[in-house]
Amino acid sequence: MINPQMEFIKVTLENVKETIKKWYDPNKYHYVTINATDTGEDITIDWIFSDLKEKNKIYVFRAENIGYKDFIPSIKDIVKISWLAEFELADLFGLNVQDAPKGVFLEKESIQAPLRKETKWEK
Amino acid sequence: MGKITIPFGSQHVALPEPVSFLFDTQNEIISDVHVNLGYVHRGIEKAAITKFDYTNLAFLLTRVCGLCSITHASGYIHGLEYLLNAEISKRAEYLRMLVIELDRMHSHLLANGHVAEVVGYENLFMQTFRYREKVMEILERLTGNRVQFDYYTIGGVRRDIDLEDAKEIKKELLELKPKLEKLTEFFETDYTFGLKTKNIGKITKEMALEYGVVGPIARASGVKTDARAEYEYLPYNEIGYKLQTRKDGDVLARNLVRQDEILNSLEMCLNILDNLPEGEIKVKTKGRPKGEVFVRVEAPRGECFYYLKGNGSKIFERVRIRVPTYANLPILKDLFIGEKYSDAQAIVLSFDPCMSCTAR
Amino acid sequence: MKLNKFRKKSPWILHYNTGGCNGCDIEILASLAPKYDIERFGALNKGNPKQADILLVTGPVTKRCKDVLRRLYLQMPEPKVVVAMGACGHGGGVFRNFYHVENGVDNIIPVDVWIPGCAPRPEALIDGIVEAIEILQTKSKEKEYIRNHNEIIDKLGAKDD
Repeated sequence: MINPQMEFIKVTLENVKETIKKWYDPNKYHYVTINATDTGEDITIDWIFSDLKEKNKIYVFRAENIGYKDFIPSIKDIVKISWLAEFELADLFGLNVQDAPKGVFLEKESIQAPLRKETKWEK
Repeated sequence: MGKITIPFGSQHVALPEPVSFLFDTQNEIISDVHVNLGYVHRGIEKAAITKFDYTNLAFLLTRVCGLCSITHASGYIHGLEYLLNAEISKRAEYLRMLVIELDRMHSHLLANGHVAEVVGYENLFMQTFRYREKVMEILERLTGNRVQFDYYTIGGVRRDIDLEDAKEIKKELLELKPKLEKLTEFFETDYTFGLKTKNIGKITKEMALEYGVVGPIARASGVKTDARAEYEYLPYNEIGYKLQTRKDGDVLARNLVRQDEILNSLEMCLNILDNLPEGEIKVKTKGRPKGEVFVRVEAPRGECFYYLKGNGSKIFERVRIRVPTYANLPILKDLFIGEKYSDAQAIVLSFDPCMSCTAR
Repeated sequence: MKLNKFRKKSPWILHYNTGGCNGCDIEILASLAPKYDIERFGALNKGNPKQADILLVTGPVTKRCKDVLRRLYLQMPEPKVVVAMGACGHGGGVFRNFYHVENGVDNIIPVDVWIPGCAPRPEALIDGIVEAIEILQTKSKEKEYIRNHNEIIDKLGAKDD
């Protein structure tokens, strides 16, 4: 059985950028992805990193209780490749992410913000 | 000369799947790239949290991608077994590793053959595919299907291996070994192949770390990263797993890392067949998934990440898939700038991109 | 002219993935390789729709691929045969009714040959191609051009192409 060592670090939308900037070092940590979860009333966003040396270690910067219209800062000047995951947040959750255009995955005629709880899965 | 825009994709003879690059070129040198990667978006993550319950979800998730279907099954089922608190038998773990490594072999051979084809070396492509077909035959004998095996099941594997099969598979693998070694030598020393692949699309170690590159692309630049070593999900240390790296970071180095891994996988398969433990292949599990888990497994293309969140009901609250190509696309986009348009195909295919994983 | 004879001997394939899982596409590559060797029927995988006789489509057709598929079909000269490969080409398969999927190839363009399976074996693919060659011959014997061309274009909704 797997044995993940998950370390959760609580952040808010205001201080997430500073916290990651202070902590992140590309020679020590590996950026995995950004993930959002819709709880039904609000959104939880995780910035996920792993360790290059320590086994099974996963660091999660978690911001909870985010409104659907809140402004989400981009970390692309700290982690160069985070833009793709940020574009996905803007597209599939319909969130207001800094500098993120819509339409990476979705077409104009398809349903918008499909991964929100309220959106039906069928056409 | 002015700027010329050349489209590459979404339909192109070198691409098995749709992705579109628009190259702005100036005298054959690429000056800007626009990527459109959403051609394969189907909405799998939404269906995973609405339509499919946890017993059926593996069938959907293996169809995220046909080449690494076993990886998606492993990522999901290892996470689910953690949430259900199920301990599986040693024999099932060994059989899982056997199929994963065979899958890695055929996927790497396909990638290397494909690179040989786009640089114009048809003969090498045919040779590589000839050996790949042997691996496919072994996989079919073991699992019953060529591409979509659905070999993983909750609590174990679906089919056992009998003595006759094990003997036959071992014989075939031993026959294959000298041929693959010869193929590696060919990739390494061939003059014509080297002309189109040496010093092309070069990634330095610093660049690879900065961009968070994963898989054979990172290992070709000398970064020691492999989810098999960094995350314990199967007992890889028992069967002779070795981390393979190269230093150059160009198209050729990526091919050679894949070749090294093929030989290492073959070694591991032989070790598994020699030391297969006795026991049940499947255990019963109880309960429903509750809680959350982050899983990392090594796909042929690199680290594949799964996030599962269950709330005690039959259907998950969130399933997030981050696949290796998703992590490697940003560097691919930046790598084109300054290269020749005629090398673009080789660079794309040396990354072994999997768009149906990326867009899901 | 012995055009029909030549067509029988060398049908060129145009392959397009409209959002499948890659499983069918690697089986197409495998059938080009020495063991199955689809070239013994004269079939070659070519990237140019203007030179192709058989359109080989895999996948359930996503919303973004829809227009590309339609355009590829219209760019191919008559006579042409469409082969839908794999379970998701037949009405969507496991992806049926997903929000970004159009439920199968025949919702977009007319299909002549269906190859079942997930993923179909290379033998099944060869069988489908051989059947497509036969259909190609009957189509070229008819020697007539489509009379209701405008109607078809209207039905496909592709007037701007």
